[in-house]
Amino acid sequence: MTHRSVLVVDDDADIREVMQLMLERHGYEVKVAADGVEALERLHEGEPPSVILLDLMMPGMNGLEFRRAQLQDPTISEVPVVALTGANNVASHALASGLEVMRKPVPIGELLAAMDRHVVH
Amino acid sequence: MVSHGRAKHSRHESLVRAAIDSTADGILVIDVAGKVRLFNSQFCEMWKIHPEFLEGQDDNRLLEYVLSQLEDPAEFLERVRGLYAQPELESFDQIRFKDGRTIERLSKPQRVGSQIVGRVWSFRDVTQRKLAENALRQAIRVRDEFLSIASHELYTPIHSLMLALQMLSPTENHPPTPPDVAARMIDLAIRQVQRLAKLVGSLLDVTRVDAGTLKLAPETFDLGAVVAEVAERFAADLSRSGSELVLDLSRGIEGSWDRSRIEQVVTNLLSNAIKFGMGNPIEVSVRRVEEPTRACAVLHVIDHGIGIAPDQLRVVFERFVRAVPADHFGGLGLGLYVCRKIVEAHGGSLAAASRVGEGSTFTMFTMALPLTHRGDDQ
Repeated sequence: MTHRSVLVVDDDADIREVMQLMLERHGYEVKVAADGVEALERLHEGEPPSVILLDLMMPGMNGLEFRRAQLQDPTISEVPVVALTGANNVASHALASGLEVMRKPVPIGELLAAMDRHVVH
Repeated sequence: MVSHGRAKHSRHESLVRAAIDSTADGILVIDVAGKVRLFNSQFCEMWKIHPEFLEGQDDNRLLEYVLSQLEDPAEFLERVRGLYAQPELESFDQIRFKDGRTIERLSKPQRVGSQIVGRVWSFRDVTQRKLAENALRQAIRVRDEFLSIASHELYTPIHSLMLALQMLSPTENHPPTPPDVAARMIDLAIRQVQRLAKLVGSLLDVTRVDAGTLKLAPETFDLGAVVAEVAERFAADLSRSGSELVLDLSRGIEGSWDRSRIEQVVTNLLSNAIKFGMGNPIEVSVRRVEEPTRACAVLHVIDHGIGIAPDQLRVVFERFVRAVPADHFGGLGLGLYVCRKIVEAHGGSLAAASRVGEGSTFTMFTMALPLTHRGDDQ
């Protein structure tokens, strides 16, 4: 199995905990960040992850702001992103981010499938 | 023949007079020479013109007089001149007054046979309708924003709960999740259920408060003792936030209030103080305040945190209002609104004072002490 790693970006501590445990059980090496600024820091520590799971509604630097900053930095702009939100206006979020946005709750199977689609093998 | 004609004429004039006086609209008729031919009292009131000034007046002087009342006199004048230059045109537009009124203006040429002899202007005050439309638009915007936040607040714990349960499910996991991870998942799932229960409680509260069906179950208790009890429940949150809690609670202040609702208010105020208190000390006091005609129980919750900007402070007790951006702090923006309604249902009031960067003081006044009681402070 190839080495797969993921950066989970979410301001909710419980979500970070459950996603980390769940993704580790499915063979991912997991890093976590509580907002966009922290996510950018994590991305510059060592090898960039295979994929980023990005919550859109966060304090500090939110998901869309993070995405803009990521795209402007050629060293990390290629890392694929799967966006998640609990808000009901998913369509407008998707439009604004240019990303596939999944609406919480996302079951494990769908989440892994989405990550698989975006990870470059 | 002559007298018959005159009678017919005056009958006709009376008909016109009665017709234009019976409408709520202001009406003005100007002939092709630019002279005022007819108007009603509604027109005079709308434009604050004395009727005597209007009789036989030249429209140019009339225009000069009214321009100062308008928000955009240049545009108004241009439209009028344009219409006088093309007498066959009809027009419809809105005029905004400096005093905040909005008036709809409609005009049509007046014809005798095929010849245009003047122009009829009618004016309708739509200020109230405009205000209602704006209020409605604002209400819809606030509701949509609330739905988006509520959806975010509800789906976040649901997402964690579902993943945690999937981790525990034997059908989803081969091999099964190890016991230590399973134990963490169970704790996490319980926390999500508690979060959801709290959110559902807030939503039900706001529904009850809005419908006016908030029921109080009064019992006699010591306010200071209850505040002390609530404060104890925050021990863990306080140590996490770093805020020291300074209590100054007079005992023996008893009144007949709904204990669980008062607890809810104190809980909400304390939890806000911790959330926005930036780890600085939080002071909570309960005192008896004697006034000539009444005695009150007064609760103060004072933090020294981020504070509330003046424009936010004005609306902080309104429904769906949050003094901070939605994506910076959780919550539905209902807490203080529900608190205010609870305190008001007790005949009391809830007030807030704050300075940005210095912190906030929330003060709950509650009617107390039967010795000098009066029913209400309103």
